[in-house]
Amino acid sequence: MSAYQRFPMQIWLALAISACGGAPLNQGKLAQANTALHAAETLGAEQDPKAKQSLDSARKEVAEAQRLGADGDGEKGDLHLSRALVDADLASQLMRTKQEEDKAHEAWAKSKSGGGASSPQ
Amino acid sequence: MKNTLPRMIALAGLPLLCAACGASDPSKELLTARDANTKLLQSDAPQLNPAGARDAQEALAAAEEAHKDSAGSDKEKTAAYIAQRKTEIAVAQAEETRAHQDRDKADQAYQAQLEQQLNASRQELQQLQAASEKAQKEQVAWRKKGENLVVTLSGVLFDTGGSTLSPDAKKRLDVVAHALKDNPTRAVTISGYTDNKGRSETNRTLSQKRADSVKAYLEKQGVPASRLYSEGKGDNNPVASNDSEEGRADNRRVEITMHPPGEAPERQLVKGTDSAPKSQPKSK
Repeated sequence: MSAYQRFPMQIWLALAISACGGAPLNQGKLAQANTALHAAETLGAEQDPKAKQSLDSARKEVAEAQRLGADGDGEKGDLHLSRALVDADLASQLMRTKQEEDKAHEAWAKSKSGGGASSPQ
Repeated sequence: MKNTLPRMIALAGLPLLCAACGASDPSKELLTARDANTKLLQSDAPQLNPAGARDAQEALAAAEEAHKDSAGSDKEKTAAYIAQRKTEIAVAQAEETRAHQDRDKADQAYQAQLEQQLNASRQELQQLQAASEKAQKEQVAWRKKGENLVVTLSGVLFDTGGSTLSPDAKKRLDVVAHALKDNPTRAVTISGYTDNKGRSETNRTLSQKRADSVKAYLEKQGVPASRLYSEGKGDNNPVASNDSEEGRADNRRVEITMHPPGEAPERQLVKGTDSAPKSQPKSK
């Protein structure tokens, strides 16, 4: 009995697909990661060292995902997109936290300056 | 059949080989994620941000599941990485909430300060108003002169050499008008006086014009013209010496006299100021 006869046709088909380079990169997920990156940039993550670290990490993960996608390893590329997404989300969150902390500092400074110096907002 | 035995030996040896490689040990990423999650749970972040903490917990559970399914795989490492990041996000969200609460406190403190300042300003304003009212009342204090009630207005009542009332004079006359309206049965004489500088005739004319101005203003404030008489007495009846500036200022005055109820001022005028020009009340 030859090998062709012992294994069903589906298995050979799966092996053939896998040899061709497997699944492509999930484009929806790529767009989601890019949107998250853009949101972090808009919040000014580039200007804050801690947020920038996460932003850079997200950019690297997206680049790696695209490279893997181009090489035909979309499945592995998707994992990098998942990492990119949380990296970008973290960068955005760090910026929101920083902005809120800045506002709190300003509010205390205004309060300590005696109140009457400027009009309430 | 000859090949079966080596194949079985190879298959049986595979898990052992894997175990020897340490593939069932948690990845470095998973260990880091667990550690971060433990710290998260020990902090006050779950109270400040329960939803974020729950997300982080679920992400860690997914990473543990991935570890069980495929220890050491990229899938496990990525799931652990995500769990670690979600923990960091949860902590940052908690800090945002804390900052927001802090800002609320600062805003409340600021509002309280403003309120305090506003109250202090209100109090100061009330005190100033009270002082101003008191000063005004003192400036138009009625005194008894026989059966008459007399108030003397002095200071800067008119423009220099003219008969236009100053804003201060108007304020004082408002108080006078109020008193006159409170006593509707009393006739009123308005007497204008000057110091002795310049010609007597000129002074008399000026004092008459000034008395007329006061009369017109009181009419405008609602005091019936039929009750009002004005007279210009020039430099007659000085109340102070005309030798000093201070004395002359006191002599430049307007006297408003409220006569007893029902009594016409004519009689009063005849008694003391028979030579003064008089303006008669308008007949209605």
